[in-house]
Amino acid sequence: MSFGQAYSGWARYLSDYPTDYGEMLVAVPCHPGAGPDLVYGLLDTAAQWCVMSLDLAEDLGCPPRADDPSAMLHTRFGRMLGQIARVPLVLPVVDGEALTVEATFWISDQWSGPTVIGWKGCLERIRFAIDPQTETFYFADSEV
Amino acid sequence: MSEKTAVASGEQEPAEELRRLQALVEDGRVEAARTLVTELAARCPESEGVRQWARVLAPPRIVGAQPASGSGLEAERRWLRAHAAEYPGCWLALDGDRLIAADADLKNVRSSLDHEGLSGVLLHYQPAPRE
Repeated sequence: MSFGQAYSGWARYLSDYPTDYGEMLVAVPCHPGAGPDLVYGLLDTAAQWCVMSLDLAEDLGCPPRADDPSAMLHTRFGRMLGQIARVPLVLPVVDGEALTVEATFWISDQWSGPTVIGWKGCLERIRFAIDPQTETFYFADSEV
Repeated sequence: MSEKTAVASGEQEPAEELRRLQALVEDGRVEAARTLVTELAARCPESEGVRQWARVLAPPRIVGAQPASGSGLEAERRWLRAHAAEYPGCWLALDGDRLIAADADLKNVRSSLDHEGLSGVLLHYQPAPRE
C-alpha cells in the first residue's frame, strides 16, 4: 500500500543539535517577521505556540504591540510572562515555494531557550512531512 | 450599572470574561479560548480587549508564497556543529561558513551586520551552560 501527498516546497533541517538546554531534535529554518535574516526554529508539535525571545523579535522588527495581550505560560524553564502577538513567519525552501504564515507567537524577555515553531497558531495550518534519511522538511498549505 | 448590563450594551470591557480568556490561554486550552473569544466578539464588538484577543487567537493564515532561495544552509549547519559551542551565551551571525559576529548582546551583532552592510544571515543563539 502506498499514499501520495503533495507539498509545495522543501528545506533542510538541523537535527540532533546539542545545546545546554538539551538537544534540538528537528530545527527548521525560518524568517520570523518575514525579514531577510534566518533563524532555526525547533519544530515542536507539543508546543502550544511559536515562541521567541523579545530581543530577537525586536532585532527582526517584529516586537509585540503595546496592546498585545499578556500571558503567563508554563515552560520547561518555569512560569514566565510574555505577550501573545501575531507575527508573519516565512518558511524558506531550497526548491518549490516558500510559505508565509500569519502565525501567533508568545514573545518573552524571560525566554532564553530556542525559537520554537509550535502547533497552535502555526503548524495546525501546514501539511508537513519529515524525511530523516535526508534531513528534509516538506511542507505545504494544508488547505490547498 | 452591573457588569452584565454593561457587556450587553457594549459600553465597557467585559473584564471578567477577559480574565477567563487569559486563564484559558495560560492553561493551554486554546480551542476553548477561541470559542469564548468568538462569543465575546459577537456580544461585545466594541471591546478593545476582545478585539486584541480575537486577533492573536485567530487560526493561522497562509498569506503568501515566494520563490525558493536555493540554499540548504549546509555550510552554516557544518559550522554550527563544529564551532558554535566555542561561543556560549552568544548570539552568532553566520554567512555561509563565515562568522560575521558573536556577542552576548544581539544589538552588538546587529551593529556589526549593519557596519558590513550585510543582511540575509543566519542568526543563532548558543546558550551558556546552565548552573
